[in-house]
Amino acid sequence: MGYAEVIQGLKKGQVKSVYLLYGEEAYFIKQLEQAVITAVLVPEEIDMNLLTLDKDPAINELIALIETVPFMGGKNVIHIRGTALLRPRKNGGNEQGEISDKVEERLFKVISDMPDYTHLILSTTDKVDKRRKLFKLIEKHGATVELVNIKAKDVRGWLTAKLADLNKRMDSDATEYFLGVVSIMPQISLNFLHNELEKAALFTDGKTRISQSDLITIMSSIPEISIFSMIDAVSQKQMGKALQLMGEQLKSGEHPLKLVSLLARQVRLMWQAKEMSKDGYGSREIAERLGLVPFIGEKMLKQSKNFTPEILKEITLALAAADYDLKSGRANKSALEEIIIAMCR
Amino acid sequence: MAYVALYRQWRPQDFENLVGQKHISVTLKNAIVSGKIAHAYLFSGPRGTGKTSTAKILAKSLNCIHGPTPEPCNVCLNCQSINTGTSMDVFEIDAASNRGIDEIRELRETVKFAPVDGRYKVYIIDEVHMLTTEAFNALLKTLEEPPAHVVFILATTEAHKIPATIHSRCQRYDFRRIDAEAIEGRLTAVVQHEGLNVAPDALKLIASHADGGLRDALSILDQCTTMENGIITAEKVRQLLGLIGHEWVWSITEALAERDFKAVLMALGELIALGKEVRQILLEVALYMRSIMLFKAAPDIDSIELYGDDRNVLAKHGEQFKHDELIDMIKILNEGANDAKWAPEPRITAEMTLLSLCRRSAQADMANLLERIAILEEKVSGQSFPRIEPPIIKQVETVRPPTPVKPVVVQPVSPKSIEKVEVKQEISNEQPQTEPVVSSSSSSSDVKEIWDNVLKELVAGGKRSVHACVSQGKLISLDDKQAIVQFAAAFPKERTEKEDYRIMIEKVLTQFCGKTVQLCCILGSAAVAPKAAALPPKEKPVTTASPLEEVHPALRQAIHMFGGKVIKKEEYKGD
Amino acid sequence: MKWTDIIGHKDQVTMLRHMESSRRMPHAVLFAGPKGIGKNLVANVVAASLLCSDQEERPCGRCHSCQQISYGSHPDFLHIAPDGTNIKIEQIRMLQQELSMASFSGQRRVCIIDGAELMTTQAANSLLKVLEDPPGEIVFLLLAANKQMLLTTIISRCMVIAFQPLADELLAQDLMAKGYLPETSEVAARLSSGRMGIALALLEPEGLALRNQALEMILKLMDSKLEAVWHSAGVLEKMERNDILEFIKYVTYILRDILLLVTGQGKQWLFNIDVAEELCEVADMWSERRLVTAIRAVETARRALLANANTRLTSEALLIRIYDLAREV
Repeated sequence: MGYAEVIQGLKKGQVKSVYLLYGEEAYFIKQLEQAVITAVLVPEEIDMNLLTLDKDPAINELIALIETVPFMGGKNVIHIRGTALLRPRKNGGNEQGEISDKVEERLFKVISDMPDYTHLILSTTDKVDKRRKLFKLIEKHGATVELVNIKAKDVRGWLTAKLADLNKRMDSDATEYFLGVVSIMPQISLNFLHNELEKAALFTDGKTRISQSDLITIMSSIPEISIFSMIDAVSQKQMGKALQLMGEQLKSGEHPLKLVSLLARQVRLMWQAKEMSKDGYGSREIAERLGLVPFIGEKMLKQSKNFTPEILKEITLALAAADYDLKSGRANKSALEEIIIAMCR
Repeated sequence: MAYVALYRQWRPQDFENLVGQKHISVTLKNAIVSGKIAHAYLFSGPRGTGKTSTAKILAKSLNCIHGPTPEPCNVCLNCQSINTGTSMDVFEIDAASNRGIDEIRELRETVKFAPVDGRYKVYIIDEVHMLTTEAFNALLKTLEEPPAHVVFILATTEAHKIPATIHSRCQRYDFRRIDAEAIEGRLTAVVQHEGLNVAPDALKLIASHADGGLRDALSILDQCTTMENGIITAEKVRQLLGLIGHEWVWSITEALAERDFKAVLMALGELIALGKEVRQILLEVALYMRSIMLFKAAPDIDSIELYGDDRNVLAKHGEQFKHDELIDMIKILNEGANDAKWAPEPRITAEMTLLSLCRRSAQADMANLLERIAILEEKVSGQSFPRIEPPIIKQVETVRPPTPVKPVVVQPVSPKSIEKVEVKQEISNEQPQTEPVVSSSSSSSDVKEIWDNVLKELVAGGKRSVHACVSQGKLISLDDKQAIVQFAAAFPKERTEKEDYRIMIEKVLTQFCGKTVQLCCILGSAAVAPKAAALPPKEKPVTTASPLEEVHPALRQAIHMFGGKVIKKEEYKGD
Repeated sequence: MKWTDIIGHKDQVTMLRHMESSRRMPHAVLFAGPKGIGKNLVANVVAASLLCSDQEERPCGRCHSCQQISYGSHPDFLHIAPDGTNIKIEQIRMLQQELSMASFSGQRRVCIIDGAELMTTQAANSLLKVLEDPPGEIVFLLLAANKQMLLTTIISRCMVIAFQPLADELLAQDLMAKGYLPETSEVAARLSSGRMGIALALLEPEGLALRNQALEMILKLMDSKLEAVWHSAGVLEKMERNDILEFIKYVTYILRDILLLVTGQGKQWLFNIDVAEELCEVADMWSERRLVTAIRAVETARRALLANANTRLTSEALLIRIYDLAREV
């Protein structure tokens, strides 16, 4: 099952007895947890009927909890965070901590036939073994939902929904900026983006529209953002600004190697975009081939016009050298400065 | 009686007085008004920019009797107790000294209990990046599901050290470096209020030196006023901070432009006699050189980046140096400053640094770049290319600055090498060249070359003691299986034969002759006194007069590799 | 002990005197600067003035407090120095205990921590707490030869006053005032690089022995056969590590002096001013490039020795280098 499916189901009032929420995207996991809980319980009931545990109880206890009729009527929701029940089993059968077969059997029975007054939510960001019997049972009798890290191309949709929630709109160049920054992130953390948008909403309290300069002012200066702005500055030959951005990152303790690799990636993309365009590809195709969102592809192409292929090659080589030199201790961060300067000339 | 430092007296007590972080004040105030308080905040930024102050203001905003309010009264008991650090509901934890899991466990225990006086329990964890991994993990659990009445404020100067799991659960606010003008403004207000006798340009100097942190600026101001009773001038501030000052820096710069070592030494000597720190001298000159370089590259650059704001002087100096010259010089100066930190005799370090600056050669840099490109290509593609020693215009006894030594590579015989040999012929016709690098397989005249290369490689690889030992021997024969090295003395022979050295040498030999050979050491009286292994060729005086207009062999090589396009670099052809 | 006992450090002394007399002494001050330039002396005078009971002139030298200090028996004047190679946490603990009791005079206390950069991390962290929350009125004077080695958290809690080595001239004058001959005072001042402690040591009988040895060795290397290398290396091998390092330092000085001569700087800035003539004579054998190389070789050897390299081998390598460089054309 997917996230959307679950939400749809809940809207229709179809709440499963057992949910297994797993995957890397903690943000979505949490969203779903909340969604299920609110679908089952009204706020007043939460105190009495919601049980949240930080780790798995003993199986017997769990079974008991599932089978206990709620005191005040209504339904029970048992929520186990960080469950280890579906971890890949170690070889060699029963180890310490692994449940005994008999008890396991009982659990399987219960899961297959959950009392209608109990809902069980299991969530974890750890690895999950899909071959385990428990997994298959939950899949059959309840719902297993994998929440993977969001892909860059899906962020736009998420962003729209989020803005709606916050009752805000974004100027188009602000959106472009936001998505541009996201496109640089090797891994997208929705929690982070969620927080950034909340901040932006608070910062622009009183206005309905969030502008690009608002974003620039209020968003955290993570290296991805700096590199993003840096390349922009460099394409406009604003050496002072580019150096300042680089300087800030270095001063705040960011590791030069990380900046090197982020910068290298951007340069690589620009160069590739440029070459492809020479070969006659349009910006759409370029974006697709490079795995970028269309308008980022366009942006890469546009930015690449500010550099000759020779410079891009030189920079790439210089970055490789800087990487090597930094790792072998021969260079220090001024190597990065020189590269910026060379790029701006 | 201990007096309270200015920076503590002048800690902002509300959002209005928070300097330089407008974006944060606005956002937090709105958050308080709208009730959208996050459960965990991450305040990151350089020191002295207001993180702890803001955390306390936020705590007051939440717990003030009149609150939650964006304007805490600072009068009620709650506000006051937070100000004095005695509030039962606000906990300030210094993660630098309480970094272990025990402290966090304790924290988790107390988190459960409801606040005593205020609405919220606020935990301010300073320098949070210092927590151990276990402590972080424990903290994470609480951050994932925080009790409703708790607000965490994590503060750090090094946000990148925070694990992503924690980071993503916080609302992060970046405190920016406060710009010099804003600092100056604040200092002026303080000076007026306290009735201090400080000249405006002294304040300006302090502000620009405070590196974006208000705390440092106020500390410097504090120190200045304790210096003496009279008026604090910019000169006195310079004295206090150990700054060298423009005048000196300019005169050193001019002496360097003229390559006048005597003048430079004079300045150095006088500055040292004045009690200036050697390292500071090098750093300030480096800073100025950097400003010249930036100014040359972008004359409209923002003054903030520049050392000193006299653009006329910058322009004048800019004409006296080439861009790459400046880059080189800055590097040398910074390296010198670094070495001076640990050197037993910083003065000598400075003298050597300044000497090498005076001996810099103007044309070497383009060749340097091209050479690097060649070497990069090699690293990237795994092939070996010959490294051609770029002709260097001779100065009086050229002494190259200590550049990282690049490994010398041997080129396998190939068509390209023939071209190189020819090219070399041209150059060597004029004047003595540097170390010929091109060599082929093991003919006897090349044995010497290979040995030289091996020795050089040992030096380059930092294996000085190995080199010191091995260089006392001489490679007298090399074939497919064996390399015979002859020693005049028993001790180095025996040492070289030991496993560790032997393996190392065999490895390097293989690098240069392309075959796996076994090292065999012999004693022989015929061995000549070991010739001092030549240092990296750059250190030898090279005298070639070939102008750069000719197609330079390295450039030719580069063209070959890049496929035929000459990179037009006007700026290298002499500004 | 009086302010006038202090040589040089004019600005720092002015500052400290003003701070003390206007009662604005922060409770933690860090004196940072190389060893042997007089930090300890300054700290002691500051302490005396803080504890002195005179109304007008502190330290007066007459009051009970000043007397006690001169006997080294003032109960409110505490002193911590490295126990062996570093300052251990037990020492800080003892300090804390001492401080937790009331002061004897009922007024402030002064604690000098000499060699503060040699505190173990635990000791430093422990001290941090005391600096943050000092029990009662106390002034800490931390002395550090190397600011780098201190925890930033400690530095940020102190007012930092930097001390520099004394100007050669000033030091030379003071030495002469103490009764030493002008020529020797001059050399001692230069060779000590502004460090009184070292200068005085050099002025002892045989104080210049190592320097002379180094000079002799270099001259010999330039002149004799290869045997000189092995002979000298043998001599070096037998030396104590500290002596070798000092020896090497003098080698550097000598080479650097020759370098100055070779580059035409005249005698003005020479360290070994007393042997300027000899150095001038041999300068002809050298070139700038070779001297620079030689100086670097010495630095390499120094680092190797600090890293516990084989003394004999390292010395030999160095001597061989110098030998060769002296002969190269």
